[in-house]
Amino acid sequence: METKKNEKKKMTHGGRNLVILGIASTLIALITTGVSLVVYHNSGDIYLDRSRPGYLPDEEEIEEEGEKEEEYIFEKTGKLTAAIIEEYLEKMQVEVRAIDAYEKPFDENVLSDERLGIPNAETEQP
Amino acid sequence: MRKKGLTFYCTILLTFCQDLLRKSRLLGVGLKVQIAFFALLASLGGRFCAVQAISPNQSAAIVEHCDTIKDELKKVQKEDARVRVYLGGYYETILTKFITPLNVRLVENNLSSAGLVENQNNFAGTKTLFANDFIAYQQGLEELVGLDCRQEPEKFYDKLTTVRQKRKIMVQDVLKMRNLISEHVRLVEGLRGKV
Repeated sequence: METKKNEKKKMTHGGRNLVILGIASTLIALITTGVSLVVYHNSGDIYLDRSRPGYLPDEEEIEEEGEKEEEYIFEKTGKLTAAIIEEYLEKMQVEVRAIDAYEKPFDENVLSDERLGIPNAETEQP
Repeated sequence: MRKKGLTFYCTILLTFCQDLLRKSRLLGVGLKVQIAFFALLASLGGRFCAVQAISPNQSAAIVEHCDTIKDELKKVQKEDARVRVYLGGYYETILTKFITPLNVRLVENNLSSAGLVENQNNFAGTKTLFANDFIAYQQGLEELVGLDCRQEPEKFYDKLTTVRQKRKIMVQDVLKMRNLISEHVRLVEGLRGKV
């Protein structure tokens, strides 16, 4: 009779441990996920993450990326000649042109009163 | 109107102090403390002056177009993230695949130029500033979008003014980067006659 009772106790004890283990694992997962999200936000990575909903690249962008030429890396070693410098400048111009393609990046007018539909205080009647 | 002017000057002073602090790696501790003190004063002043800094018409317009304004701000957030990712990528490419290897090769060929090395350091420094300023700007924009413009139009406009200042800094960073690239190209063109 007592052996049966002991076995039952052991089972209950084991079941309780299993529940504790489950809760502890969930808590650890929640804490580590929370910490990761805080780091992700505070480091600023969140603002560069374009896989977020609403920030996904447009179809045109994806097509443009697929059409990219082979990447050029200037060799760190070797002799330098005028022809090599010429090639360097030519390849550099590709990047410069790509930067210049962005007309007025972070244009200040985008956040102007007019653009946001707020009447300008200076032009208002006194 | 007077309060609005005061807010404007406080914001300018705060931005100026923050800019100085960002670039103050070489400044002494005492000077840094003084600048931080002025920044704190400007910040407190800005908050104090911010109350009723906008006209009733502006306040009414913000309340009325609250949703439209927020939608517009969200669009700006998305577009800015795109521009930042692409521009940052190009800057990174130029630094790691062009400028740095070229300077290493110049040293190897005993052609090292102080101007090019200085340009590389400035480029790397400004690139870091660009990245940090973007985070500060986006955090401001995020806070702005999170504000309830129906309930607090004055606070919303005040925050909008701060975000505009941060956006202005982004424009300056982009210009600096472009000038550094032009300077680098000019210096490399000058190498033609030496090799």
